[in-house]
Amino acid sequence: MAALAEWQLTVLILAPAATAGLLLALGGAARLLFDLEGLPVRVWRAGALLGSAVTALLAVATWWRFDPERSGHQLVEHLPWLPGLGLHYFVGIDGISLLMLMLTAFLVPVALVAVWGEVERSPRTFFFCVLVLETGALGAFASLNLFLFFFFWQSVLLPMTFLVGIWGGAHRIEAARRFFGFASFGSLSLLLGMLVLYALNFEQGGAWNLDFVPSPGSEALGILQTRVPVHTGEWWQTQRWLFVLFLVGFGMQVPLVPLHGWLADTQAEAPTAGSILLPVVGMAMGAYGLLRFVLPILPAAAAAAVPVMLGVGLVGLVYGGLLAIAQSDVKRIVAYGSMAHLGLVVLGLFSLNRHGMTGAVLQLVNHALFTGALFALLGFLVARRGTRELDEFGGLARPMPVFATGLGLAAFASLGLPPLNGFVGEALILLGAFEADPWIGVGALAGGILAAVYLLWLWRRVVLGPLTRPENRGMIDLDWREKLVVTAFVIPILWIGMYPNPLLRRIEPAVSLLLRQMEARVEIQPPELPEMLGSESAARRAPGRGAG
Amino acid sequence: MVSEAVEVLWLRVIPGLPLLAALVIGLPAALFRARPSRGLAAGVSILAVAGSLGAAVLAFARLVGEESPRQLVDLVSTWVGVGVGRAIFSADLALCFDSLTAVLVLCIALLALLVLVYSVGYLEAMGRDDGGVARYFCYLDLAIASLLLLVMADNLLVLVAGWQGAAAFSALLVGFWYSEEPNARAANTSFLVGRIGDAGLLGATMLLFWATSEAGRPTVTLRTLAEHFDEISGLTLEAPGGGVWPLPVVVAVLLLLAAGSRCAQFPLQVWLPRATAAPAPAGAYLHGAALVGSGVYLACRLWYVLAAAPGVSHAAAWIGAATLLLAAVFAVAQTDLKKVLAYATVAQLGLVFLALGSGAWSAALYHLVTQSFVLPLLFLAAGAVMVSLRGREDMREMGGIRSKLPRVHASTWVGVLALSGVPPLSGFFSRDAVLAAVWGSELAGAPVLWGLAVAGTGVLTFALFRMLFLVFLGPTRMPPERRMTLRDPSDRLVYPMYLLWPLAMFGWLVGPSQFWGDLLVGGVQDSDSLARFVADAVPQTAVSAASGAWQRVGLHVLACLLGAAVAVQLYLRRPDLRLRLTERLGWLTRRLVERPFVDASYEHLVVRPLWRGARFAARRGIEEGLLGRVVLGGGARSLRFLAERVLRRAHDGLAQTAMVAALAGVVFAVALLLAGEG
Repeated sequence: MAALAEWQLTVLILAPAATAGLLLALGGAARLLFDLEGLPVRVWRAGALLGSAVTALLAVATWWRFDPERSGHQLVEHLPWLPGLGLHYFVGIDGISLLMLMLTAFLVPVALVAVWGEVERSPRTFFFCVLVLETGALGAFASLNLFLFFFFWQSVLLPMTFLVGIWGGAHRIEAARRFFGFASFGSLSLLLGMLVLYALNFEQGGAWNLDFVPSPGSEALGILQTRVPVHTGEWWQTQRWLFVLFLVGFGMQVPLVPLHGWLADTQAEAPTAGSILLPVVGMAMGAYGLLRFVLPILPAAAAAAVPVMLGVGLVGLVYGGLLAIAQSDVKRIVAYGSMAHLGLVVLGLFSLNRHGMTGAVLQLVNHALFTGALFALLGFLVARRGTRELDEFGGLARPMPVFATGLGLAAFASLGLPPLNGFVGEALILLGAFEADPWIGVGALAGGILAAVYLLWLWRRVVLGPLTRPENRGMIDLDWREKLVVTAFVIPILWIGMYPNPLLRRIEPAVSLLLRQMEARVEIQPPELPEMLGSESAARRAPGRGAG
Repeated sequence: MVSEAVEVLWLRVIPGLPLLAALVIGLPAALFRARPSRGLAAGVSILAVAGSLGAAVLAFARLVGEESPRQLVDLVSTWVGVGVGRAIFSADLALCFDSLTAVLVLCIALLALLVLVYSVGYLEAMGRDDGGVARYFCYLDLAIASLLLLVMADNLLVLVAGWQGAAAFSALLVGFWYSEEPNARAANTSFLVGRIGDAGLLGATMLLFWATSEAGRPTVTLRTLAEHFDEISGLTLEAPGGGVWPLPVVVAVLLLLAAGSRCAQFPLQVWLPRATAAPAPAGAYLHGAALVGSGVYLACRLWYVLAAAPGVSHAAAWIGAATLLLAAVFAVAQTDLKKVLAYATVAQLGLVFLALGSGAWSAALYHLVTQSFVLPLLFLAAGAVMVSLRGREDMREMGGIRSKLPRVHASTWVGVLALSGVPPLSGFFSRDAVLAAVWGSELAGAPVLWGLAVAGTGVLTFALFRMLFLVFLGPTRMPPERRMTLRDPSDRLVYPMYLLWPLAMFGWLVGPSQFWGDLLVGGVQDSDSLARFVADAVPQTAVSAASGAWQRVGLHVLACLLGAAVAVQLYLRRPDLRLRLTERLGWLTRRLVERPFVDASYEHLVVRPLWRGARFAARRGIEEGLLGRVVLGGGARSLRFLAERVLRRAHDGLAQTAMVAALAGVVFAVALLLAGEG
């Protein structure tokens, strides 16, 4: 029991993969001993659900053990792995990681229930992939070593590619190839950046190390203390260059605007479980990487890039909205919509103040919830009709009232209607954007109207209007399993909308620590940095918008 | 410091009860398909709203007994809180009940009660159950709760929540009979136009917070804002293209956007006439009074922002006057009964906007309050007509049904007379208060504004009488078999209207201006009791008993009489004249009715460009063309080129190629080493 408490985070991370391994081993045993083909699919399914449910319970236990009053990382667990190379197993969580862990651990069982009996092609492999994916995501969110992060990150990409490529829709191979192509390009960029940082850290600390902060009992320099030059030194060692590398690497997953080419194909073709999970294991992880590694390690470059990044966020918001409006495929509408949401998140992150960044983290959670709900519902619909074309639907509120209500709720949450969860995150991000630059805030408000256009369009075309197609007349409403999935999404959507403070209380200390870390790297900051970090600093009033 | 307000813990009951009713009705229906009967759903709703009204009356009584500034507050729970010290953003779910709130809460709750009673009969008579009774009462209760939350909000974020909630449930009610495509579209339009206003309100909230935190007092609490607005009114924003914008101007523009979209002001009026797709009682309540009134509430609540931006409020006055005239003209051209009323509503709101723009806050409020009972009366009467005609709304197929529907006929008369401003009824006094304020205002072009407004009221009067005559009087234009089936609506539809009669006729007694107070029997001191009552929230309109008061009143009455007289002449006495006239002006009415040019310009200026832009971005232009074909395709091609032409060569399996490659490698390594030495 004591060991469990001591290694709680590790147990949490490894639980899904261990479940997968156990099921595999049992399968082997069954094959040897009883001459079965493997474990029955039912056992795999139940085992996978059980494993992910246990993981979810462990995540809840972690939530209880986490002390929101303390700043810094908690539940830190450390194990030397390749000490000579500085590659440690080093995990720990702050409020942001905690929420991401909770979210992942919550979404996986829900996604499994959502696709319950519908996986026909090699179902055992499917469950194996999902479980490995979960461990990868949990590990990445808890990693305090950049290499470990990279390792877990990679162990998400491959199962995700398989999920799309094997269990996806008609054009799955193309979509999977695209996803993997983009992802490997991003990984390469990330790897390059990591190596540069590795070398810089070695030059300065004399030991190979990629720990985020010095690990317990280690003399080596954490990468948070690595000095990354702003102007001096080799061009490839400067903050600006590293920023670009990391930005491409993480931005590919977010996705930032010109790097989003994979998103709609992947989300449209992915099986329902993949679509539900991608917002957290892909998109949120990219944004998390920006927040965890890029901002504190490269503060000067990040601060200098603020105008560009605010622009990128705004363009993502507007461009994603426009693309969503032009789609005729229900899943692609939601996919581009989620790109627009991530644009808003980037806007919040790079407003570099408490409100914007807290809102951005909260919005990552919210986005995963309402986008997950939308994809789950659309998945139920597509499973019934076998098509994703908008024109094939219409008037479904009559045969499927529960579905209609669920879709409406998820759409309204997504377009930011109070008291649903989207509103709080959006309001905080806007607040941050207004503090960074009021005109960017005004632009984001205007861009937000587009969300109402495409979501209402989706809702009206699917659910309202006359029942024109005879195929839709006999549609069966959601059954109890599907209702369970929808309820599982609706409860947190309502809860966060009405009472977000428990989450905010955990995000905010982490965000303010991050802002302090950025400020603390004082030796390299450009003169305007304290000003850009806004809320904390004394000298915060920019000339021209002070009291007149 | 914020002046200490009295804490009253049961204020939450007022918006809470309708919310609770909605949950009681909606949850079982959503989860277990346990649909409550019409009687049960209505009973629960009516009880809840009656409870709200009772609590509101108690709160009102409590408020009257308080010292000035009279405020009751109730902190329900924390909501959003981020930051510390000077950057704290904190918005709690807190309610505040002050004089302005009291007036609106009482109106909203009282009207809601009457409308709910009417709804029972209406839904029954329409016979289009759709399994939607629970849905109807659930949405309506939620709309009522949202509106109550809106007017009772203690801070801007709660206000935003109520604001958006009310719009959403209103849109859901517009699309209540969703199986008909036009209704679904109308719901969409009304939500989208509302969304523009939502963005404005949210932007104003954010800017006010930004400004207060710049000034070292971060807050979104309305009471604090009202007290300390002068500290931030000097702030400026730097425009992107150079130039400096005073903060109040930007905030006022955003607020105007919000209030304008809510009050259906030009050019955002498109949604209200379409919103008539809502069931009649819901439309009467939301689109005739309560929902659209929330825009006026917003302007009154934040009057100090508008007052600090005189240019913007001046624009509001012009927008209001233009809307009034335009909507009145549109009302004349309609053939759909409910659309006439919708445009009449828009026109009345134009007048209110004119008052707001001229700084006559209390006059605007006064007019809003009196109209809140008149317009719903007319909407309910129209609903009763439709029920009798089995859902038909086209006035060209009505006429001469006075004898069949005497009670509805009488109600419509009361409404029309009160709305068109016949002197002893309420429309006259409140409108006169607005017109007097414009008459006496210092605005540039005030006489023109006044003239526009009077002309608009004249045209509106004509439109209303035209509607009355077309529907009830004259020869019938109905086919005989439908005439036979015509039935008088049930008592449940009629009695709520009767209850509205006195309110519609004598609602003006809540506070006529002193000018009229002096003329009342014996002369009433301080007759403008409404304005006095809300004076600690909204400044009183100072109407000078300036010269020419009687000319002003005379011209106003004359315009209305003229409108009525023309209607009598054209629709009762000389139908032949009307026929000739419509023949001549047919092209004009067609423009106004079949494809109102405003709608058409929306289509051309907003919808199509957006649609084209989206398609361009997605297809040929950027996404598939530039990013897809050029960047991605180009990248893929060059990779393939590399693989096929270069790398494949190296792996052709021939020994000599491998030798050459190995040799090249060695040379390269040696060169690298030598370079390192050097």
